[in-house]
Parts: sequence; C-alpha cells; structure tokens
Amino acid sequence: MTPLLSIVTPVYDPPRYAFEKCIETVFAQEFKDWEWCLVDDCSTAPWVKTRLNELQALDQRVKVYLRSENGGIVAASNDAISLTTGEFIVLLDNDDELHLDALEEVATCINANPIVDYIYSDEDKITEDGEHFDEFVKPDWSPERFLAQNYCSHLSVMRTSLLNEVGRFRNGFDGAQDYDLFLRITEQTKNIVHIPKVLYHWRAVPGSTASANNAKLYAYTAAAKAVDEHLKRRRITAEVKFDPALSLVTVNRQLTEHPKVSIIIPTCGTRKSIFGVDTCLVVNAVESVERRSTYANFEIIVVVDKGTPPQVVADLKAVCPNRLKIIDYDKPFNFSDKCNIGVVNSDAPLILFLNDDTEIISPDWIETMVGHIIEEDVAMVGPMLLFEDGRIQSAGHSNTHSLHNFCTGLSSNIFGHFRMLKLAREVSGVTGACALIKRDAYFEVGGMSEIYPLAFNDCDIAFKFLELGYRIIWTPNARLFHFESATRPANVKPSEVKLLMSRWGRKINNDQYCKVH
Amino acid sequence: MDDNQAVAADLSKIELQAELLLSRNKLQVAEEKIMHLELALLQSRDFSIGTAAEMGEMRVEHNTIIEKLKDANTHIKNHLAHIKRLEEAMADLHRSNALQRGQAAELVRVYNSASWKIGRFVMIPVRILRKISS
Repeated sequence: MTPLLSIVTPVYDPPRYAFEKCIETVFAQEFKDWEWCLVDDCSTAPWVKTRLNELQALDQRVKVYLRSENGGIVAASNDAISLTTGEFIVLLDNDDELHLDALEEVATCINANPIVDYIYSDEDKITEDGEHFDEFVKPDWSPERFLAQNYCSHLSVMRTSLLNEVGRFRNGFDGAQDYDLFLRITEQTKNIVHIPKVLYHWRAVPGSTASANNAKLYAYTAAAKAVDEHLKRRRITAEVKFDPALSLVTVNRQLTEHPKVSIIIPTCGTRKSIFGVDTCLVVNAVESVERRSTYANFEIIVVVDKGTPPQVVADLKAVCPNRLKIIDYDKPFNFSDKCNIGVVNSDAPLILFLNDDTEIISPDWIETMVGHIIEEDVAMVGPMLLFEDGRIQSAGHSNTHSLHNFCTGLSSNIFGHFRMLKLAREVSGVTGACALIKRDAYFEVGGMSEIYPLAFNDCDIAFKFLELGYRIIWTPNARLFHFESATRPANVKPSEVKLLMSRWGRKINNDQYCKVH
Repeated sequence: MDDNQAVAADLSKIELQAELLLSRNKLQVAEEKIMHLELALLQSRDFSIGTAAEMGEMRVEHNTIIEKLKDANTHIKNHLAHIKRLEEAMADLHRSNALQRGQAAELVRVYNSASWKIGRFVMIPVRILRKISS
C-alpha cells in the first residue's frame, strides 16, 4: 500500500528562479502518489498567481487556493493543510528543493514502519547558484537536543490525523511555528523515525533563516517561547532563554527537589603533577567537590585500595570531615567491583561515579546533571571533561567508526557539528570518569560488569541502559578537569575488545546519536 | 534509693548496654549480608542482561552465517551446473573424436583399397600433364 503524500506549501513572493526550481523538484519525484497543496498568501508579485493557476491546470494533483488577504505563514500553512486529503503531510517551503528520491524514501519508510507518526531526514543548504553546502548529519530522535535546536526541521513529514489532533500551526510563533508544531507532535508520539539521507535542500537566499542564523532573531524568540510552553506542558520547571551567540535555546532546569547524591570515588592514593604541583589526586578531587559544589545534599564515598598510604586517608578526613565515608577494598584490582561496593555502601537515589584524577570547574555541576536525570527515562548523565590544558578530554562517547571519547583533544571553544558541543544531547554513553546514574536503573541493569575490570565498564553499562530503553545525556554545562594524560596510550587488551564485541558488537559503528566522526 | 536498688539499676543498665551492643553487632552483620546480597544481585542481573546481549549478537552472527550459507549454496549450485555443462561438452568432444577416428580409419581403408590404387595408376598421365601445363 502506497500512502498518499500531501505536500503543503504556503507561497508568498518567492524568488522566481527558486520557485521554478522548487516546482521542478516536485514534478521530478520518482514517487508519483502525491498531491501538492499550495496557498498563495496574497503575494504582491502578479506572476505568482498566474504561475499557480498554470500549475493547477497542468496537473490535477496540484491544488491551489488564493487567499484574499495576507494572513502570514501560519494562516497560509493551515489553509494549505485544509486542502489535503493524504494520510501524511510533507512540508515544503516555496523556495526550497526536494531531493529527487525524497518522497520515494518517505513512502518506503512509512511502509517499513506502518505506525510511524513523524518522519524527518537529513538536509543541506543550497546557494542561489545551486551549490550544496552545510550538510546536517542528524541524530536519530534526540528529545533533549530538540529542546536546544529545531534540528528536525527539513524534511518533516507527519501523520495528518495527528497534525489535526494537536491543532495544526499556532499563531504567536511566527518564524518558529514549525518548531512549536513539532514539539507538540513529539509530545504525543514516540513513533518518530529519522531517515539518515539528505532529502531536502534549504535555499540560502539573503535574509532567509538558512543563510544567516541571526537573520531572523524574532524566530529565536518564538523558538524559546515554544520550548518554554512545551516544558510547562510537561510540568518541567526551567528557565528558558535564547542564546544569540550560539543561536540555541538554553534550558536551565530548576530543581524542586534535591535528592541525595552519593559521590563514589575509587582510588589507590596516586600522586601526580597537576598544574606543576605534585598533588595527591583523590585529596584534590574531594577537596574541589567539597569546596566548589553548590549542591548541598551529597556524601562522598571513597573506595580505598589496600596499600593506600594512611596519610591519604587522614588528608581526606581533614578536607571533608562531615560527609566522607571510607570503604576499604582488599581484593585484586577491579574497577567495576570497587564501584559496585561503593554503591551498596550508599543509600542515595542518585550515584555519581567520579575518578580521583578530576577537579570541579562548574560549581553547579551536580545541579546541572541532576536536572537531567530526574526525567523518568534518563538513566545516566555525563559532563564535559577537559584535559589540564583546557582541551576536550570527553564530550560523551561516540561509537561511529570505533568506540571513542567524542572530540577528544579538540579545543573546548569549538562549536562542533551544528553546535553539538554547546548543547545538552542524547549520547550512546558517557565516560565513567564522571557519570551520574540513577540507583534504581543501576540495580536494574546489574551495575558495573565485573568482567571488565579496567576498560569498557562504562561503555558496557551505557549499552545496557540503551538496551532497556533509557536515555543517556551529555551536557556541556557541567565542566570538570580530568587529569588523564593526553598522550596516554590506549591500554586496552584485545581480550577486553573481544569481550565487549561479544555483547555489543552490533552497536559499534551504529551510533544513533552521533553519526559524525 | 538504698544500695541494693542502686546496684540493681547499674546491673540493668549494663545489661541494656550489652544488649544494645549485641543488637548493633547483629545489625552490622545483617547490613553486611544485605550488601553481599546486593552485590550478588548486581552480578546476577549483569550476567542475565549480558547473556541476553550475547545471544542477540549470536543471533545476528547466526543470521549472517545463514545468509553466507545461502550465498555459498547458490555458488555451489552454479558451480555444479557449470561442471555439468563441462561434462556435457566433454562427452560431445568424445563423441566427435570417436567419429573422427572412425572417419580416419575409413580413409586409411579407402587409400589401401585396390580400386583407389588402380584409380591413382590410371590417373598418372593426367597428373603429369597437369604438372607440365602448370
């Protein structure tokens, strides 16, 4: 069964060459079972009406409605939706282009996922001269990222019945009316599919949102308003702002509760030169947590290896006299086991694993991470970790090509692919050097697997969470130093790789959230 | 309060303290047991999830092998058909060889026959004349 696809296009004084290209790409579609609903929003250029009438006469699949007065993009889009008879609506702007296979790909996707409600694809931009640039390699459905940017944008296809159910486009969101619509649609369904192919070419004409991110500032104000209302509907208390420097919506969740956090630090009391000073790592880490954290409700559990100098324990007690618990560990080294022992010695609903070679930068690091983990389906949250010299040590895990810390070694000032280093987003894992985990979820997946005594225990637990349908969030708004040597050799044994592959081989090089290297 | 009463109160206090200590010890033992059980629970759950994941991997591998097997079977079938075609071609060759051998024997027999020899003898003047004229 091929679905009827209704293309919806509000028209208002498009550049003529761009409109002709748009028409060309619709008529050149491989897939033929479509209808095109165009509504002219009282264009001032006389050729527009003539051309639309020509199109209607040319092909009976074209439906045209000419508005008698200019009502804006929302009114025109809603009028166009009223003309549709198809099961799915495809949004197309009057100066953009569809890839020739776009509708074919959408139809194939619908046939493969009959209950799908919302489909989006990758996209790129196109100059006036027809040159393609700025390909946006998007993640699979990533709701946290969607709060910061309308990354789904083009090409978007949605089930008509759901679109009508949520009330179509709304007034008051001009410039971000599609973002507002997508937010309301994605609140109602989990049947969202990403087609990882460029099916839409967004024309960068002067003054368009595609050509410059600051060309339509009013659009971003509307975007922040859309996100704010979305969060209110979800009963999430947050401060929502638009960051003009990043062209992103920033969501700062306000905690209504402050659940207890057990910070678990496994250590053997190693010393290292930090910023040129010989330092006991764990004492430095505990001191920075104690002194810099603004979150009040936490305890620190240090799991100490046998053989750790007694002076280290004494120093720990001195820097953190009130909320420190020391657990002795007298078994052969096993990082996972040490973590598990730390967990069973705590009673907090939230567990925060922290390496002893870390130091806090953001005072609100715990609040920021707790803000994400209180969402029901989030099991694990990780921060931005920086090397001593300020470069990125880990911006979450990526499984594209191989398992690695994303963007390791790059400057922490870079924005990343479509600003992905500046926004909180879903990831396939975060490094165990600093990871906040829900206690219940931790127990549900069996904690850290002791079959990985040294490497990959964090990857394994992340895969276990993903397998059970949990989300993992990485945030750049919590920042810590991780004094891992930037030139550390990959100390991974082939047996450990084999072990990981035996469990999760199919997930390697198939990262749903990070498809760029 | 007389002396006896004071001694009795002290004794009961000591007894209570001893009981408290005992309870605390029991509690500590119970807490340790709980911790061990929690660790065992973590291990069991990890094992079950890990095994399920390994099974998933094996299923993927199994499917890959089945696909490969299908390809191999197709390849073998094609190969067998090719062998059959070669065998048929060889049989044809053998048949035509046998035919050729029969024809060669027939030719030898013709050359050796008296009629062929008489014919050649009769034709000698004609052959000489042809050579001279050419």
